[in-house]
Amino acid sequence: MFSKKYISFIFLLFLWAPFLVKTLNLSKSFEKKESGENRALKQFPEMGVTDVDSFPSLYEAHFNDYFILRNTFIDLFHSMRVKCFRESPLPEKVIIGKDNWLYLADEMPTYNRTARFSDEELKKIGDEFERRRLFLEQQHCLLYIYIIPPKIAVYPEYSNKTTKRLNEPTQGGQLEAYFKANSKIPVYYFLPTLLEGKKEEREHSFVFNTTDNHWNNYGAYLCYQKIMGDLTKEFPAIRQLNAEALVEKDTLEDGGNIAGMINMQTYFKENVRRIKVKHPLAHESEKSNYEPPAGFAYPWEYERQFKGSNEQAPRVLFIRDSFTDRMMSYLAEGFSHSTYIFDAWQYASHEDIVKNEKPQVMVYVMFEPFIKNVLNKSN
Amino acid sequence: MLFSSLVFLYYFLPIVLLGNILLPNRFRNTFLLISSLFFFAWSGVSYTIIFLGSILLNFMGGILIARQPASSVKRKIIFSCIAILNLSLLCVFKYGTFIIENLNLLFAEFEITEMDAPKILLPIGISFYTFHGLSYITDVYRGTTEPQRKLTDLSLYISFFPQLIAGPIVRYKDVSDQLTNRFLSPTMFNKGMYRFIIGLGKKVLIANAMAQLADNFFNMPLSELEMTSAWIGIIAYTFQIYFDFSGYSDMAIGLAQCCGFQFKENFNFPYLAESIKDFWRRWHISLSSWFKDYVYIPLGGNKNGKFKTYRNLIIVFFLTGLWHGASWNFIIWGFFHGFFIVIETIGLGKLLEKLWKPLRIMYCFIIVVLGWVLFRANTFEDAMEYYKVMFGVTEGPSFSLDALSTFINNEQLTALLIAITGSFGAMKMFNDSDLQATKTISPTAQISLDMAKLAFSICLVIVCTLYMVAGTYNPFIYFRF
Repeated sequence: MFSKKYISFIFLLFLWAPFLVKTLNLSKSFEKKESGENRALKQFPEMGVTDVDSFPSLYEAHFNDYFILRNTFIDLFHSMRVKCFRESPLPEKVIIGKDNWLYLADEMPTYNRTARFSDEELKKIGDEFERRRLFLEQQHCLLYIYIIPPKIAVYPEYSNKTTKRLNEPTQGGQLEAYFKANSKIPVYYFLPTLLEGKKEEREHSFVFNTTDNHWNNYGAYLCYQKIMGDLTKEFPAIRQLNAEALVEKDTLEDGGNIAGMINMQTYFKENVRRIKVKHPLAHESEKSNYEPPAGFAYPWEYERQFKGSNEQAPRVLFIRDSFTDRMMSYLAEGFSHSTYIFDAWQYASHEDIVKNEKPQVMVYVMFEPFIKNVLNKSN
Repeated sequence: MLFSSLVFLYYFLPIVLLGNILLPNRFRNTFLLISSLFFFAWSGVSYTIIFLGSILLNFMGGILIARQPASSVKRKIIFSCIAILNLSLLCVFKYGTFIIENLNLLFAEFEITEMDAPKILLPIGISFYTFHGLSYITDVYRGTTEPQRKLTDLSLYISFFPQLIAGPIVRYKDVSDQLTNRFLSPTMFNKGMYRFIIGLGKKVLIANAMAQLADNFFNMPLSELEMTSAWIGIIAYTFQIYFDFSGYSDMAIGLAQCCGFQFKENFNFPYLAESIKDFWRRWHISLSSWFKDYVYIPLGGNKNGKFKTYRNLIIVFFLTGLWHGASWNFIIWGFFHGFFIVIETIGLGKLLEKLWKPLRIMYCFIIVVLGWVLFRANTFEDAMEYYKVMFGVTEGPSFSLDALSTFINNEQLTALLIAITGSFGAMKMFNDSDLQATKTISPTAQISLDMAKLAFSICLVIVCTLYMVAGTYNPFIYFRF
């Protein structure tokens, strides 16, 4: 009988354990604080007479977010899914491919063409950029548009998902063709550049990171060459870096942002080739302190200013996202002054910034799955 | 509040279990009632008023019925009124929109102005608590049970949280004694905990994995679905629904046991059934026996000739289908089962008896699986299209093994294998009574066995907790606006 009572006590103690550990603050030493969730946790909800029906679900969300050892449990679960089953812990967000290649599931619709622009949307985007081009013309500024394809479009072979894709152009291809047929604005899709680069891949260097959704330094460099090749036709004074001006270094690093999403950066390590400018002449200069959009998670990245050494070269304004990070140091070398605006993937017109910075060329470097944001009303 | 949620497992449950153990017997019913009402209110505070109204109606109804002499007209009228009020509640909240939508279709044919179909939210557990109430007043009316004169005790019977959201449907007469006189021993508590944990594992580890697998195929455009995928999809659903529902029943029975109540079994290896008749003796036993006692037998059962027996069976299965949800798919699913029961009664049953047992099990399993298509498909048209794919009556690809590698991951495959072995008998090893009825083991061996079960149970809860916590993980790589 004693053993039965003892077992009952253990059961009860086990159910009470989270409460006791939290109340007695016993978890401090082994609770993992960091999380790859990238979101604000739910706060304790307000309780009023009108909120009685919504209170339980809001409280439950708060309870779940602050559950004892939550991050440790999540890490354990992710490790179990990956190591025991070779499965993604978040299949709706992260795809684990062959040879530890990671993909964002969000990028699949762009690749398999389930996300496409309608004719009406293409026209709306076309009209909007035409409006911007006319504005820029008045400011004596040229407009260029570049579209970055998602990783899955360049490396479908490492994905385990045998996704059927329609035999149609992707959104980037649609846009490129539309502008070619209907506009003077030069629009370039980076996919051919990256596929070409992929053919010539040097040892241990792909054009995308295996555990991150971004291109790596080599991919960024290839697309930098494409941009600069186009711009030097109009502005010969631009300084374009060649391979000799760069220095390469290989390092084994923790996994990138997709590995981070599942908190497994240390498991999904990656050999990263860093390519830097050997003798940088450009330097980061003072910001004009433009106001970032409300709620933007990376306000410090909203505005970056670089002063180049070549006074003959034009001033440039890049509307960019995180992909441009890896080419910014190369780009900065080519212009007398370069401004980079990371506007939370809105790719807006930023007319005030144009008037203030007085660039001679404005370049949009847009990530294909987010081009649709141009259609946002706020734009 | 779901049993398979963190807030239930680590907040509500420990408080209720400890409170129930520490409180003296005389306070336990009140404590469990308050806990159960809190549990109900958690899923919709506003609906608690309807719920309390339903309890009060049956409490008053029971007393009023008992006051009238047996077989008096007044007794009959009061009983009918209470039964109609109970069923009206169910009709309004569960079937109101469905009835209006179908009437509108009829009106459209005759060019009559359509009615607005209100969007009524289904109060949680209404099908179960209405049937609890109905069985109570029917038993009081029949004189097979005394009316409960303590509001707290009847309220606890109807609202007791373990059976509130997914059953089993407990008869008042089965627990009336336990409401006033029950004993909670450590052995009973431990058995309840084991049972609850096994149920939790069935739900969190097996049913959820099977649900993901089934959803892969049922959410796919039917034009892209091929024969193999369609069969895998419905087989996965077959195990999903069994492990989900029987998991909930296990949790309910286990929790009730932890509080000192003994509920009857609700499932008995239904996929081992050798006929559809047998299936309904093993699947959702509390519902099928409810319909048998309160509909089939009052209609005359099998006492009034063949045709009336068939009619009664069809009525019962129509109601069984309708009970599961306000949709034509459920009604047709009920008729589908009713049809097989009738033909088994006519003569197929005799033929089946001559078959080798595995063939009988296979026959029943295939019929049940085919029935689940109606249960899972969104519309009747979707179900028909799904059948076409299953039997290769489409223009698309008819057979391909791609689905195996593309849509089933290792975890789902593991869960599927456990589900198959579990459904066909392996789960019997967890049945304590089997083990102890056949073998007498030494006290030392008993302690070792208890410790092993304890360790297994705690490991199982930890793994389930990992899954539940991971379900709350929602990362963003980009902050969207």
